[in-house]
Amino acid sequence: MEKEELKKAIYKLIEESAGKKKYKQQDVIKHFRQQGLADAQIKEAIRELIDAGDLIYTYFGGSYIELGEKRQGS
Amino acid sequence: MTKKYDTPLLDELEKGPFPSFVTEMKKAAAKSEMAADELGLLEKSFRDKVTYWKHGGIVGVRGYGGGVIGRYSQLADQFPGVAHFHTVRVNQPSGLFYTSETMRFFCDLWDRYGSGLTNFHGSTGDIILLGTVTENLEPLATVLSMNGFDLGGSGSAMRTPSCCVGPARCEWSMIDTLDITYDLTQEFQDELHRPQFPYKFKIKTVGCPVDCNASIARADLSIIGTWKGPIAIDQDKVKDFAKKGVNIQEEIVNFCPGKCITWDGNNLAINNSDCLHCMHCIAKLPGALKPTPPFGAVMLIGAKAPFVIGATLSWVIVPFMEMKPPYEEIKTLIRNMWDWWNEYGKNRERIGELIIRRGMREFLEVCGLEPTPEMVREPRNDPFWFWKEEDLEKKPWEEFLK
Amino acid sequence: MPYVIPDVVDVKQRKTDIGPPHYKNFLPPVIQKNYGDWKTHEILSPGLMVHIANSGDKIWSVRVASPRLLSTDTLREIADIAEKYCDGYFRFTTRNNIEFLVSDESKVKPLMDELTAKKYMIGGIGSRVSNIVHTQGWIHCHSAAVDASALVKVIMDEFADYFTTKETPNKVRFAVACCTNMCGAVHCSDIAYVGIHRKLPRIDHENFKNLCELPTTMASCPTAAITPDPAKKSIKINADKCMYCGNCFSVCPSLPIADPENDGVAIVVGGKVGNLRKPPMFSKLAVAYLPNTPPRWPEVVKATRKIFDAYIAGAKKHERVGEWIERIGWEKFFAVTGLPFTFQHIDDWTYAFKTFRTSTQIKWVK
Repeated sequence: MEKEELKKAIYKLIEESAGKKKYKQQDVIKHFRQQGLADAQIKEAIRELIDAGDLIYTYFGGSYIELGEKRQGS
Repeated sequence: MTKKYDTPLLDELEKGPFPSFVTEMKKAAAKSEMAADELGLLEKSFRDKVTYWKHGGIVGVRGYGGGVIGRYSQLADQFPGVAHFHTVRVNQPSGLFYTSETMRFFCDLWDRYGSGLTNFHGSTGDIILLGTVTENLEPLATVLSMNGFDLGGSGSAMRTPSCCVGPARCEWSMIDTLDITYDLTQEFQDELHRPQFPYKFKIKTVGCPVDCNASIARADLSIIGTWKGPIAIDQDKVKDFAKKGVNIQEEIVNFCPGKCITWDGNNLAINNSDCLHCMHCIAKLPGALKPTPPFGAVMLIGAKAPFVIGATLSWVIVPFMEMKPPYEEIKTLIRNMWDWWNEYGKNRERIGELIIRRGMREFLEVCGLEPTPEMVREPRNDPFWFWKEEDLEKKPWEEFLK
Repeated sequence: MPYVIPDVVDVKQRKTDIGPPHYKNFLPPVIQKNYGDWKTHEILSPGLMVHIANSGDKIWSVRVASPRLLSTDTLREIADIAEKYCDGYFRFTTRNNIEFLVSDESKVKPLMDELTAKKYMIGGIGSRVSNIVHTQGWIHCHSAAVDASALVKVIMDEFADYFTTKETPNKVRFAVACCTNMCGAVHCSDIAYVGIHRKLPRIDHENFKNLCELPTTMASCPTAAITPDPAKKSIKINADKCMYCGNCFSVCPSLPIADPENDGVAIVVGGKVGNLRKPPMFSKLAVAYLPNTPPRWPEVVKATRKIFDAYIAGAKKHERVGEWIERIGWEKFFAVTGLPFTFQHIDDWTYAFKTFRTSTQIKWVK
């Protein structure tokens, strides 16, 4: 899978699970690992999504990855 | 002029010899509306005997998942200055050393972007800047980085590592705690800023078994300096202590947990093979006794506060490791344990809890460590245990019965 | 290095992952020169020690107390004092004290004189009371069952002379945690305070499903008292199992547990972190509950006085509180302090059996 394609797939996973299931970074990695992708590749794609602000880390008794729009005031 | 509140209850805490946090809040309140409302809010908590802070919210700076703790008051209408009152954690310099110039920078920075209230330091070791609003976070982080500072950790991440004063100003430090802390912090910037673990991971490094940073009680990985050589004795200095009134027999010999010291009134003798390396005799006779090389560190794992399974102290996983730059051995060990914890840990499960759930054997195998008696207080006392297929093929008795 | 705060900040200039500045930038020249090469040290007075290097160089450290919560005004004053006497060099200890680092012996006395004149509390070095590690309390935390800074203040006021002058048999380390989450290392301190609740969390069924995750909430409970309530899309709490720890509230805001009339303070004693003599020890329960009585918590101060005075009177030189108690035995500890022993003192959680006395070795105390 191309990196841009993977980024879209990760974003979609988080978008579709919003309000239902919260994903930690490692949960995302495990999810895409099943599709034959390397951990490092998935991690890099997450990093780019976070750096762009599309996704953010959130904290509620544990850290998760959620949609960037959840961050207030940014 | 900032808003003024009557604070009869808090005023009672300006009495007495110990420096008053209320006085500090009033100083800040004279210059900052945020601090003024923080003072008013606290007086209300004292009157009502309850906290008025909400659970944290989602705030942070671009690219990072930690370093900022969102904080909002429940009483924003009444105290608008604390509607947003976020905490910023800034990674402290190793050993908590500062210069006046650096401190003034922090003051200028915080008067501009925050409430003017700080903590030197938070429990984990970070510089804590208390009380700012969301829109100030990006510029604040930018100015910090322009001046060589960076945010600390929060959430399910490696937390900001910390250490004791170490070789900077202590004759007992057997490892370079400041350098180890600096080096590990730089090595693991990604894990510090981007929370990717099941839960928090704390690393605390101390120079000797006195443990002036409470590493063994509150670090997931405790790195504690120790020694293997004999204790060097300056007999003249021991006699000086005796002359000055130290009862060597009572205060030193009788307290030795290894029962390995003797004193005939003239000569102190130590049977080093029974020494437990506890530091009592060395610490109570400063300058007379000292540890000698080889120096290294004991690695211990798993300390944490009570939730969920009960408080734990760290336990030994490596009885002795040399600690020389670039510290590759410890870095590899840390990476191996993180990979395992990330794979199997549940949300909010500390590494120590995972070890207890899945067993020390699995942890040791993942880390490539052999079992040794130094890891336990005593062997198990119930007569059932696991055997793996590969164990059944081994015949260790043939070796030890030779 | 010169610091800059531009009037207009371009946030695109932010550098990430640079970490903290190198510590060498903040070390006085005498420390840089003698780094890792110290020979010995001497405590000259309760707030003054000198470290002597193998080279013969010396550095004097003057320690003063700090409430940890500091205004920029006070920090500037500290910076000014350090500049005047210490070439700008100072540090903090892991217990929130400030240490002025003096390289020139002739500046030690004038520094201490100025600190005294400015009402700084000098002391805390050696076998005495040092500053109190603590948490945020009502100042800044959503789960605080008690304020933390106030407890620090009233305890340090009460035992101030043991910081500035008098000695104790060994160090006495106090700590305050404002809830059972214990952000400070309270579980291993000589005498420590922890904020506790005594009533069940109140379940906000309406908001539970929006704000909380069921598995996380259930997993947060140390006693498995939380079960699903499918009809309400919420949870149930088994009142017989709940120990009011409040960990569920940490992960779920719909389970508020704070209760002004029933929250309060427990006192635990006898912990330590150092390996000297005995291995590190946990603190154990001495007083199960004292009410929240702001602003100065007089009951907590009085109970502490009983424990502290009994320790001073009974401990041998070099014994920490926990070592003293271990030697005299817990039955004697409760007898000499006059603290009541209650049902709450007998463990009834996971490893309770490890704390029961499985021998006939008993001291008769009455």
